[in-house]
Amino acid sequence: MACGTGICMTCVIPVVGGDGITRMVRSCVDGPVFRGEQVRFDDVGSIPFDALGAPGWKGAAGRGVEQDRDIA
Amino acid sequence: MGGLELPNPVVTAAGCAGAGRELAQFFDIASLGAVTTKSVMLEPHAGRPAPRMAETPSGMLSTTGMQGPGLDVLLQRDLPWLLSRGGRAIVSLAGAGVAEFGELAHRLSEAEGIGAIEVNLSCPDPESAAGRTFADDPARAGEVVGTVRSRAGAQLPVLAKLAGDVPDIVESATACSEAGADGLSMINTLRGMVVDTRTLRPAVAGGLGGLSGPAVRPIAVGCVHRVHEALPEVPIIGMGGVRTGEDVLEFMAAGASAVGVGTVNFSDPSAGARVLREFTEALEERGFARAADLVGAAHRTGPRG
Repeated sequence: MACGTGICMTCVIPVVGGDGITRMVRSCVDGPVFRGEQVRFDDVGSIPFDALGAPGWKGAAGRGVEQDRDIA
Repeated sequence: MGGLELPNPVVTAAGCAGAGRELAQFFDIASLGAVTTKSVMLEPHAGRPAPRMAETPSGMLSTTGMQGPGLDVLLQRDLPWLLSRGGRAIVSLAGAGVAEFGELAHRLSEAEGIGAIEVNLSCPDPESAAGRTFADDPARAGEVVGTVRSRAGAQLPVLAKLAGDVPDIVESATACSEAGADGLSMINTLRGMVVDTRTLRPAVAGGLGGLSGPAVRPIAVGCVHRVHEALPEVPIIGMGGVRTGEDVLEFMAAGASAVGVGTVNFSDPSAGARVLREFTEALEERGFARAADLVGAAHRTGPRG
């Protein structure tokens, strides 16, 4: 990471939000502590296809409500 | 600045300050000339995989791949926040094609309170098979700027952000100016690569990244000088490796009317306020009553001021 304050966007990891949508969040300010089951550890270092703003995110957004139940 | 009035010449460089919210924890962002917001696209973008940055001598190499929440979030959340804090906004926009640039300009013209828009021309041109950016081809850069100028409201100044790693920056600047740009920002990061000697693979995902920081400053100052010489009437925001108030002085003497503070924000989040203070002191020490009197000083002949 370059900044540690949330502006450089280099420390991002894929984390599933309460709405079931995976976002590339900044580990410095959106973390640094996350709920372990919400971090997509296997996808760290990549952009999951269904992450917000990734090529497949629109399909994933439609499933958001269902996924939310699983996580909560 | 081509229809944009700033209380002082120190602004943040696009992509190095978010929309001001993070830096506002460290100083009053309304004290800056303006905050240039991170390049926005119409839709959310997840950006590039990590790793996204590598350290280089006197600089850094980075590639975020335009990660951002998209235009709606900027207009509904980030921009109102910046304006509510008394900040002035220059909105950087990035398009995947000429049409997206035009649509962004049109939508941003309907929003209230934007000081200017800055066209990030270092976006890949989908019509180039060779992986060129719009900035690489003066004709294509002009096409984007012309589209943005025609779709943006007449009152909204349009700045073209130029790349420093092109064969002839004066040609780029002229093309953008003739296409209707009210001002020019220069330079963007320079394309480069770091190879990790442990893995023998590029250190950042995707291979190439953008080089920024003090390492690029002489290149940026040279670009500003050349463009100001060729197009003295066109206002320039100079940026590239600014770290101190003296660096602002340097860019303005070369011909910039305002100066962007970028990569230094990553290591010193108070840099904007500090650089402005240092610049003000440096100006007074040299007996300049107004910052504007300094613009282009390095082009003058005769005894030094």
